[in-house]
Amino acid sequence: MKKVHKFFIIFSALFILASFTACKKYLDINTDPTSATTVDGKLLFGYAVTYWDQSRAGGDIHIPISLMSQTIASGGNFGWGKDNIYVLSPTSLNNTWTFYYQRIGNNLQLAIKAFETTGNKNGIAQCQIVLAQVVYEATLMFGDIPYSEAWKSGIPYPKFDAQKDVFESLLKLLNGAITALDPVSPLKISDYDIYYGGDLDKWKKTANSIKFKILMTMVDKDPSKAADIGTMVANPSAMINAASENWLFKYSASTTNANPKQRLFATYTNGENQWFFANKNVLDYMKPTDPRIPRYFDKPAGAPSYISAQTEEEADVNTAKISAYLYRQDAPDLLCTYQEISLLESEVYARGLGVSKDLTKAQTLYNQGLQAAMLFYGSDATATSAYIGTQVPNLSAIADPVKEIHIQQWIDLMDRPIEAFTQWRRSGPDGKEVPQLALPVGATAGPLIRRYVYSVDESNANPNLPKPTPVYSDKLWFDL
Amino acid sequence: MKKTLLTLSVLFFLLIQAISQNRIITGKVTNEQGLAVPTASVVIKGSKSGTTTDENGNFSISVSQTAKTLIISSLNFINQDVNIVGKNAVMVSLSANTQNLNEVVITALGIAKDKRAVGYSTATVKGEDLTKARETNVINSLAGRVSGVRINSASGTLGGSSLIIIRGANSLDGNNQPLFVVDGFPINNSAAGGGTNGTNVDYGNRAGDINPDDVETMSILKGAAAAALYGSLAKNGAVIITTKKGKKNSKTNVAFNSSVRYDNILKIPEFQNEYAQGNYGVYDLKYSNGWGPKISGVQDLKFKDFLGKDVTLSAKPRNVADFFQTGISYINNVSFSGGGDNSDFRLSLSNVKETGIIPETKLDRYSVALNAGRELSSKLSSRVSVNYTKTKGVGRPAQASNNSNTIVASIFGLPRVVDINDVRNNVYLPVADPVTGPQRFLTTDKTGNNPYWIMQNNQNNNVVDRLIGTATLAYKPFNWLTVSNNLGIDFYTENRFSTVRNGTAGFLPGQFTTTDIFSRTTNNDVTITAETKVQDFGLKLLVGNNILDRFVRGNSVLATGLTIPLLYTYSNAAVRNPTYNYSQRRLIALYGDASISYKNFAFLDITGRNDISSTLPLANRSYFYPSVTGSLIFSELIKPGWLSYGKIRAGYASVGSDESPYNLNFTYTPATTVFVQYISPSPTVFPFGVITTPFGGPGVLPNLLLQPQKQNTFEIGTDLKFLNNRISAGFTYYNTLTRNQIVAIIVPTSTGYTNNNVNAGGVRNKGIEVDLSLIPIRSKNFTWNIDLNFAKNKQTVEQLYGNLKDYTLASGYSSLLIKAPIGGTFGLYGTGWLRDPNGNIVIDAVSGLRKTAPSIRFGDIYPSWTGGLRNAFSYKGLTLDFLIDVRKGGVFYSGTVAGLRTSGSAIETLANRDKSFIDKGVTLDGTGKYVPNTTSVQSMQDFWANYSSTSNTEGNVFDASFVKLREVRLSYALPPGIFKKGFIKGMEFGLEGRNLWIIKSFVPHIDPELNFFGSGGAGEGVEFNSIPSTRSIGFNLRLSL
Repeated sequence: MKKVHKFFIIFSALFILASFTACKKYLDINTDPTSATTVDGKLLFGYAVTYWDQSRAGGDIHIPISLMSQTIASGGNFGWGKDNIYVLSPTSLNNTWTFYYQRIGNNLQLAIKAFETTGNKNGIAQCQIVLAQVVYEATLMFGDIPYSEAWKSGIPYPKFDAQKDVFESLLKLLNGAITALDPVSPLKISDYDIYYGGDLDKWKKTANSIKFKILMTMVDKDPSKAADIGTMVANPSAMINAASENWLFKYSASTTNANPKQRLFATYTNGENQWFFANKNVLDYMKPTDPRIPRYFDKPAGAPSYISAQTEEEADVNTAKISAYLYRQDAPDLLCTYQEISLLESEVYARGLGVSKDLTKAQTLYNQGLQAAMLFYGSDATATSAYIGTQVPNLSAIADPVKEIHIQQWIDLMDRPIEAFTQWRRSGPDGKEVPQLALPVGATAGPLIRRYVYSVDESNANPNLPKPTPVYSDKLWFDL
Repeated sequence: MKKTLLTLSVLFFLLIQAISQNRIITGKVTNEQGLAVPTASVVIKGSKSGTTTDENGNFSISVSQTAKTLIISSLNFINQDVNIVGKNAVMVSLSANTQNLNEVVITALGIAKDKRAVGYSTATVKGEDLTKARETNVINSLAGRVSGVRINSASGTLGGSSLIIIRGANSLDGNNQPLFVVDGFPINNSAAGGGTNGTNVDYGNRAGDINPDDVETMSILKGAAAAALYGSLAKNGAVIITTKKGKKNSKTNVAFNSSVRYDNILKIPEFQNEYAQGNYGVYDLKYSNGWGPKISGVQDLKFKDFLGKDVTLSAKPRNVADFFQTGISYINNVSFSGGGDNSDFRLSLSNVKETGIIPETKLDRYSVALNAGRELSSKLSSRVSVNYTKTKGVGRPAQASNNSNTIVASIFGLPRVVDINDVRNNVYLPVADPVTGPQRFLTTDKTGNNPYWIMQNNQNNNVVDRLIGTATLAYKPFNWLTVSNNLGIDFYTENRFSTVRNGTAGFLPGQFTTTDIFSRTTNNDVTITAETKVQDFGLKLLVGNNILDRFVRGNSVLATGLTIPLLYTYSNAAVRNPTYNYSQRRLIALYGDASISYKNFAFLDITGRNDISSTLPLANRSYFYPSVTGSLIFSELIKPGWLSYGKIRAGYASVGSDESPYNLNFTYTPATTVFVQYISPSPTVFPFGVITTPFGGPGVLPNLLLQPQKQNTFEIGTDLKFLNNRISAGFTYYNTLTRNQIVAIIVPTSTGYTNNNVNAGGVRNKGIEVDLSLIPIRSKNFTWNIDLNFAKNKQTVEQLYGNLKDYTLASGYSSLLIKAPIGGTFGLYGTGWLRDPNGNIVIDAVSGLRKTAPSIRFGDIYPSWTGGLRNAFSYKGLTLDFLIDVRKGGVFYSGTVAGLRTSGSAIETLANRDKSFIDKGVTLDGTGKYVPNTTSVQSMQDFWANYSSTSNTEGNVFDASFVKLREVRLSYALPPGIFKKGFIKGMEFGLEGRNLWIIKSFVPHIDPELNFFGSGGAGEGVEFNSIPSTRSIGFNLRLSL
């Protein structure tokens, strides 16, 4: 009897003991064998820049912004579809915001941290230069955005900085990066540098070019920036100053590494563009002899000429399409180009921003930019020379040379929607932008679109969201 | 503890009595109609020894001189105590158990309990209910049968998955599925998540591997109280499956169950048959829609069809219907069972062979099940079960959106003038096109695929090999003490293989994907049970230890750009993108259960369990939770004549749970692909140029301070039987609060993370369940049974986190979201119509089209109540049984309807085509006032393009209520008398129908029960081009040898 209950008690005790002591090691298996606890910063940099460009060239940014800024036409039911392009897709807004802050921004920040531990100053600077452009883009779309308190552990609700402060912070960030770049040090991102393969000289020119673009965006609202602009144009070789120095994200002619613009058609329309057409707001500003026309657009067989459509107008079999050339697999994504900087420099001299007004100088830079633009897009060399030689207007002889420069800037940026949208907004005060756009058919009645609205996720989660919540037609700080 | 044990053991030993001489009792067991009841169990009360009746209902048993009572029991009959004092022969007539439920309930850990002693609501479905009208996925058979248990078959895919929700969804993380336990062993019921991935293919859920023919009973433990001993795994309830076993001391029985079943599409959309394809009334082969010219208006003209012939347009009303074929299923099972003095066995072989309603779809399943028990000595017994299943699915179609391989979009989108025979007979070009390959496209823009091309070339196939084995060893050193060990292993491999042939629109270069999944679940329970009776008190004490290890590993390779078409091997692909998944988690638990009964009418049950989980932070990974349940059979105390049985029951339980593995540490994951909007089926793949192996930080910030989740449940109920069991009723009220849930809460993305892992949220589910059973007629030859069940659940999100007002559970395409709002129920949100302050729809004064507003709630995704009504008539051997299933409330979004309407194919798009149409609503006038709309739409094509655009969610949202005739069965069992001389012992014929008729639904064109989130996600009530569900009619023959 007693033996039995003793046995039972001992058995139970041993049993309980055994299961608790044995378990510690048995349970220590919560380490993911498929992820790493530390990585080289270049791997995070590679991740961030790839995501960034898939976002820029993909369906969340390229298509909606091209349509809303009216650089391409949807063709109505004949093409992409009849849509109210002012009804912004919450999914795309969320994706865009998430890409800027999490996939791109945070991974750049993590890369910077990783480089800090290895003392890789160039790596830090390279990340900062990309980050500056990313944040610049974000503020161009969303206006006031978190920056000074973003990506900081311990700050659950980052505050939104005024756009002016964001611009100023970016200028500081760039200045720091430019100073830090050390061409002697072997520590840098080189093999994962998809842009320049570790050529720090080009990185420095890029950083200066971003600075110049930021200043040009600010100067209408904040004329004090003219002085800095004057300093910068005095030294053009410090900026991107040749086509070989262009800041490009390269795609390749492979199914899975091709430009997302092409892959949209590869996925749905057998690789051929059946959806996007020449927009009147671009084609009508191009001279018929402009050698870019056959590079930008494809004239359907049987069409009498290059026929354009309004943004949401019903197209037909004769409407010119955006070209297979622009939508080719290995079309690079353009982040900053020689022609863009040249035309901006031309604008500086035509307007006398921080320099004395000099239309001759402006003309030279205008011709240089226009030629670079034409050649970049593979225009026929003879036709280009002929155009530059005979077709360009004499800026000194026309009433509004600045407008003429803005038109060329607009045409050059047709395939770069964020830049085109920004160019249009900064090209003149309300109603005097170049070109003058009208409300597209089907768009909500009222003013033209001026910005993206905030993402739903950020709006729901961050009590510091600006109030009242901006709507799509509100102007950003820089937009007069 | 020591004292209790001491007392317990002393008490037990006092009861041990010497055994004296034996005598023999013989008898015959019959039913109320006087027919023999074979294989009834005859047990001497107070002992374990017994026998079973033979095929003629006769038995003979040796009993001690002191034995006073025999207990006679048989499935479907009420147990009977037979006094044998002074008798040598007895005649026993058993009354049918008119409650559909057995008197014995299998509860947690496979513990069989008298239903009287159970302090919570349970339901049991008998195996024969699952095998008379057979469903390939056993879960579907539960639809409409049990109160508070809702089944949602995700798609009509052969071998597709089914969602089961018990008493409302508790979790914010999408894990709302109950635990499936087979013979005491928690099996893996994983499922693909479905949702907005471009390759949404329904590969089924793994509980679907259970062979209905091997199921003896399925007990549904609805709440945490019932399942407390299983702990965290069973916080959403548990489905306890007991498989069939042989009987000791019985001759070998051979049973055949054979069915042939025919499946048809349950609901075909109603198409218009008046307009051809085109744009704004002009015929154009570029389009696959119904917006071209009116067919009757252009009879004098000829148009080119897709074959290049000049034809006069004519409608082909049956072109879509004729695409679908009659699916045929053959389901065969043979089983051998029997047993000797010390052993029993059952061997079962099954085969399911199905062809689907969509051409080229097939499913084969083979199962072998062996269950054998042996008493190794008088004290030691063992049982082994081995279950092997091989399932092969061929041609599972792609669903969802943004994928040119979705079969439903391809077939429903056929222009009304296209002959399906032309489509079927002209899949291939005589000479392949140099750019687009061998496919003959139906439209000139070549953007859509021929449905036969898709099914013949772009298949999604899978093969699952699954083995579940359990071994139980029970040692009974004393009559009152049992030590048992139950070890189970469940492992399966699943190999998925998807091909896309070169020349497929959307995937011109061709691609294929292989996915290999290996899953292994190992579970061991050691339990020590002591049981005794002290005067009027019964005591039972159980302590146990559980070790559970769950391991899943997956490899997947996407290979794109095939050099040689149709050659699906990695080295033939230009780009190969492999991914690797790995997950392992372990749990160790100690648990105890004390049950006390008084005079077999008052019962109290207390359990406690302590889990230690590998997935939680070290400091918080051990957690304890208790439960208390009790029941009182008050009809034993007060017994008015009209009340045959009365019980009240109540229970409280707390259940803790852990989280997914690897959510604690900050780690960097190698990236393989990059999401790109609109082209998710063919993402950007690394290496990308010089960027070969990039890594990314997490999107969800991990948290080292997580606590276990907690769920508290209270339930109270009663079970009543009146008028000699002619009426029985069960009522239950429950209230469950699940809080401290581990969720990835949305944080400002500007922090660098989209989500933080936190303990947050409180979701309450309150509800009532009613089960009624009536026998309006019960005579010698004729019985009419009515079973009615009703359940109403109210879900409230009581708490989220910080300032959050809602939490996104799942997202669909184009702004559609499933969200959990504070103070509300999980609901469907999206873009809705803009309304003026008076609720009128605001219309654009220029276009005449409705304006939209973002983030509108359209309603709950869950029903406000559900019910089932079953009627069964039996006349001698003939029974007719039908089941009606009702759902009231909730909303449903249909992407299929959106497509049918925007394309002008649906019949309702005929309205107003040839006249002007002014939508009802208001427009804003120049002075800022709302005035009635007078602007007509420019065309109905524009109207429907706007109204039913997938991005204008509201136009595609419908009431999800329905009434369905779920099942009809007619069966006839030949009277046993006629088989006396032959070798056949019994024969039963059946005619079965499942999902026969949608009696009432508010969703046009399709079945309102489809769900593209699959059974693995939190979403429900949304479909995008889901595979249509089927209606099936079958014949069944059951033979017993």
